[in-house]
This record gives sequence, C-alpha cells and structure tokens, in this order.
Amino acid sequence: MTAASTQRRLARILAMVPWVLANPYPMVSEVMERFSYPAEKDLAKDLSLLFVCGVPGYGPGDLIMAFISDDMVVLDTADYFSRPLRLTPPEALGLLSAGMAVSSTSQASPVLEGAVKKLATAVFPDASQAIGVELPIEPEHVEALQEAVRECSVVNITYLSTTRNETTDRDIEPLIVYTSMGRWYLSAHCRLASGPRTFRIDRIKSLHRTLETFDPPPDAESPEVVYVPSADALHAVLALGRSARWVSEYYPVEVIEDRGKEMLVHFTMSDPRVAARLLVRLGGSARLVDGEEVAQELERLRSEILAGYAETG
Amino acid sequence: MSAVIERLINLLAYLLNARRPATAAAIRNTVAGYGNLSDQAFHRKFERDKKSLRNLGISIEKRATDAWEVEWGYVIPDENYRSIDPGFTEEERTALALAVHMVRTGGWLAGSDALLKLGGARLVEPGRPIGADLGLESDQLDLLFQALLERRRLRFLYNNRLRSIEPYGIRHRRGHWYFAGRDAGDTGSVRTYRLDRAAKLRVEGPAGAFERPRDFSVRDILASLPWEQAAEQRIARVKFDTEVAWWAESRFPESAGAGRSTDGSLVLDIPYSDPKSFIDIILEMDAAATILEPPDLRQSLIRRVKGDA
Repeated sequence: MTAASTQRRLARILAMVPWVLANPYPMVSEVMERFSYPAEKDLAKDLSLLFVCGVPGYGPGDLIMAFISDDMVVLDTADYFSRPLRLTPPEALGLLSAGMAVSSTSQASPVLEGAVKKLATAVFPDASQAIGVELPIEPEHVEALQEAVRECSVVNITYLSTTRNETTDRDIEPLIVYTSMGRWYLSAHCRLASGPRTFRIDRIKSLHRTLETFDPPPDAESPEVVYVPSADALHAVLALGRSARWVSEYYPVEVIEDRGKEMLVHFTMSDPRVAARLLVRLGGSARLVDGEEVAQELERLRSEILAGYAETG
Repeated sequence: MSAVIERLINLLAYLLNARRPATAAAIRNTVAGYGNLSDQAFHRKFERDKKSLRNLGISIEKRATDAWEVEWGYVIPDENYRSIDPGFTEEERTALALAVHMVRTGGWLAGSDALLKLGGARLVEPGRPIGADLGLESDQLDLLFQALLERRRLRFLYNNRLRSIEPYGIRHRRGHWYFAGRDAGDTGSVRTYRLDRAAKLRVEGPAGAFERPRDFSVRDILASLPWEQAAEQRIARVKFDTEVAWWAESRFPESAGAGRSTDGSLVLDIPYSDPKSFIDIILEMDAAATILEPPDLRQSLIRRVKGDA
C-alpha cells in the first residue's frame, strides 16, 4: 500500500468515527454511502483496525469498541475522537470552489447557494465575500451535450472548425464537457476523424442526438486541451514580442531563446493555418522567423482578409 | 499499511487524552507502535507521523510541560483539532456532495475530502457532469489560500518587482485566479494581481497580522482591471458571411441585426468597448467577417493584419 492510500484510509477513518459517535448505531449501508466505502468488507476492516487501537494500557477498557452487529455500526469508548477534523486550507478551497463553480452555472440551486454561503462564512468569519469562483457563461448546447455525456448517446453535430473555419457534419461520442481558460469545450471521440477530438462548444452550430449509444472508455476524464504532435507535424519558428509572450503559455511551443524583448519559440502544428491565423491575430507583436508552409499560408490568409476590406472600402 | 494507521490512531488517542504536553520519551515508551526502536529510528518515525497528521489538518506542536520551561513535550492544541462547523442541513450537504461529484478537475473530485470531514452525504441522482480546469492543484494557490485564511502577509515577485501585501480575497474568473490585497510597501492601495503572473510566492509573518475590511467583496477584485471597467461603449457594424452568420448571432446576443442581404450574409451592429479584444474576436472568423464601421476600427484591423500594429 502506498503512502497516499494509507493517508486516504486514515482520513476516511478519522472522518467516519466522529460522525458515528454523533449518530450512534447507524446502519452499515448509510455509513458506506456517506463515506464512500466500496464494499462492506472495507468498512469492516477499518472497524477491526480501530478495535485494536486505543489509549495506553491497551486493555479491554482502553481499546476502542468497534464492530458490526445486526447491520449496525457499533462504536464506543472513543469519546476523544468525537470532534470532527478541521478542514485543511486546500480541502476548504476545493469544497468552496466546487460549490461556487456549480452555483455559477445553469445547475445552480437555492439550497446549494445557501450551503456555499454557510461554508464561506465558516471559513472566513470576518469576510464571507473573500472568495468567488465563476465559470464562464455557458453557450447554447452545453446542457444537451452534458445530457448526452451522461447517457452515452452518439450525437451528430454541425461544426465550424477552429483551424480552417470550415463547416462539417460529424457523428461524435461525447466524453466530457469542460471549461478551461474561460471557454467551454467538449472532448469526444470523433467518428469522422476516427480519433479523439476537442470541440469548442460555441462553434457547434447545431446538434441532434441519434438513437445510438456507445460504450464509454474507462478513462474518460481528461479535461485538458492536449495537443500531441503527430509524426508528420509541421514546424515553424516565431519571434514573440513582449505583448505576445502569452503564446508560450497557451500553445505547445518550445522556447529556443528568450532575449527579453523578444522570445524565439519553436511552434509545432498539424496544419500551417494554425500558426498563420495566430500570426494574423498577433499583428506587429510577433513575426515568422522560419517556416515555408506557414509563410505561404500567412500570405494567403492576409490577402483573403484584406480583399474583403478592399471590396467594402 | 494498517500498522502505520494503527500507530497514528494510537498517537492521536494518546495526545488527545493527555492533560499536559507529552514528552518524546513518554510517547516512545507508552504509545503502541513505537517500541523497540533506536533513538534515531524513533525520531525519524515520529517526524514522519507528525507530517502525515499535518497533511490531514492536525498539527502537533511543541510546548513546555510546565511554567519553568525545563521540559518540552507535544500537544494537539484544541483549535487545531476543532472543525469549523458550518451547520449544514442534510439537504445542503447533499447539494454540496452533488457539486463535488459534478466538478471534475482531472481525475480528482475537488472537495470530496472536505465533505467527508463534514459528515459525508447520502447519494442522490448525479447531476450533469462538468469538467472544470480550476487549477486547484497549484501549490501557489494553496499558499495564497492559506495566507488568506490565516490573515498572513504574502510576498511575491510581480513584473520583476518584489511585493508584500495583506491578502484580502481571491476570485476565479475567465479561467484564471486573481487575488487582491493591500500593498503595504506602496501607497497602501488595494491592488489586483493574476496568480499565474506572481512568482516566488511566500507566506510570511504571524497569523492574524491584519484585519480585512468588513465590507470587502471579491466583486472589487477585478474592478480595478482595465477590461472590467465600464469603458465607453461604441457600436461596430460587421458583415458576416452566410456560413458564419449563425455563429455571430449567438456570439453577440446584444447586437442589433440590420438583416440579411440577398446573398445570405448578415450585417450586425455590435456594441464593444475594448477595440483590441473585439478585433481578436472578429479575426477568429478569418475572411468571413468584415468590419464596415467605424473607420478607425477598420483601420486598426487592417494595420494588424498587415503586421504594422
């Protein structure tokens, strides 16, 4: 058993004991449910561990009484454990964040809001307004996609691609709806691309659920925008000025040299359009140092956009 | 290993029952699990145990056993063990449990440990899952939150300048953590900082070092940032090609439509306040969106695309 799992097991025991002492003779099923015991034998193991613990002397009156009897949990002679454990700062932060995050979405409820308020006041008695967590406003389709994730429904979407601004129709198996860096995304298995894809939800034009369902993969949770360069990936070198340095935090780049005023980065992509679009957006704060395909794409993109202005000028 | 857990529970039971600080010798000789160890092995084991308990929120402190301070021992001060009791109703506990199970940060359920300590909750039909990258696994955030809870000073590098502030509050918004506090070294004004831009964060000085203003609210945190200020709003007229017209309509719900033209394109009058970020959004559509008015905004976009600005 690892140190981390030892820690978790002890944490659960020290959380469970005060609750059972405050609510004597609870049903085994309720204790399991409350404290997320996967099986009765796990609870029984923890109780038999407590049974051999206690105060020095370690005689019959000194050890903790802990066992299961008639489907009830019996716990006695452990009054010193009756006070619940203090929350650590990261635990309080985690609970407050989760509560506040959900409260800022369409799944908010007055009960949750009340609970969050109580918790914030308990954690910050002097200033319950000292913390706030807001998820970005949900674009249309978030709810429908979350339902589809929960029910493992295959969904057909019309999507405006981020790389090429092309509209395509595809069947996808939605895995998780998540938010990162102020935007909402859907991570899914795309049947058109036969692989995992991340979709920006605001770019989903329309969706409808098919009657088909899918088997979710066992490790369906990775709410991160991950880009894994493929073998045939393209490369370019960009020089980022001061106001474009953020690019090195948001894109999969490798810093070649940081000259302070300018930062040279190695940019990897599957489509030259990715770097070209970024460079157009960055304007004079970045320049392309090396990368023939990107240079061509950049030229094409610039003239396409400027043509629209020449027409309407 | 259950031997470790048994020893830790015995240590806790012993210290919680002790009427005065327990010396290392007393712990070693009486608490089950520490017997038959060399001096060195005992101290190593005891230090490791103290650390395990500290991770759970229980800190063991060293105190003098009497007023003469000749002998020292260990105690778990009451305030270190007592939980804050928010006084949740069963319904509120369930609502929080639901929230904890809905928000997924990596494979980890934020707040599930805290919920157990507060008595857990009965399970109900789960809500719609939300993945949220709240950056909760950052050590910097833990330090910041600790300073905030304990009202201790924070020291960090920001834009290459050393700052020392009294932290008042934190806020997660638009994918980032921000924090605000009174800068003691500076003019004493309350400023806002972005956590991922702060380096070498350190908590310093004693707890309870300052009072937070009673009326402080996280709403104030971002009020000082330029893009949150109610800047003067202007109206831009933008033409969107047919394929992206739907996107524009849902992206700018506050816009007024001038209607579709015969070729299917859409012209919208859209309010904006920050020209730079507005151009960012328009450029997302490449050549499928064109700013028609005002002329200065058009010129800014053209300069940007040409790489002049």
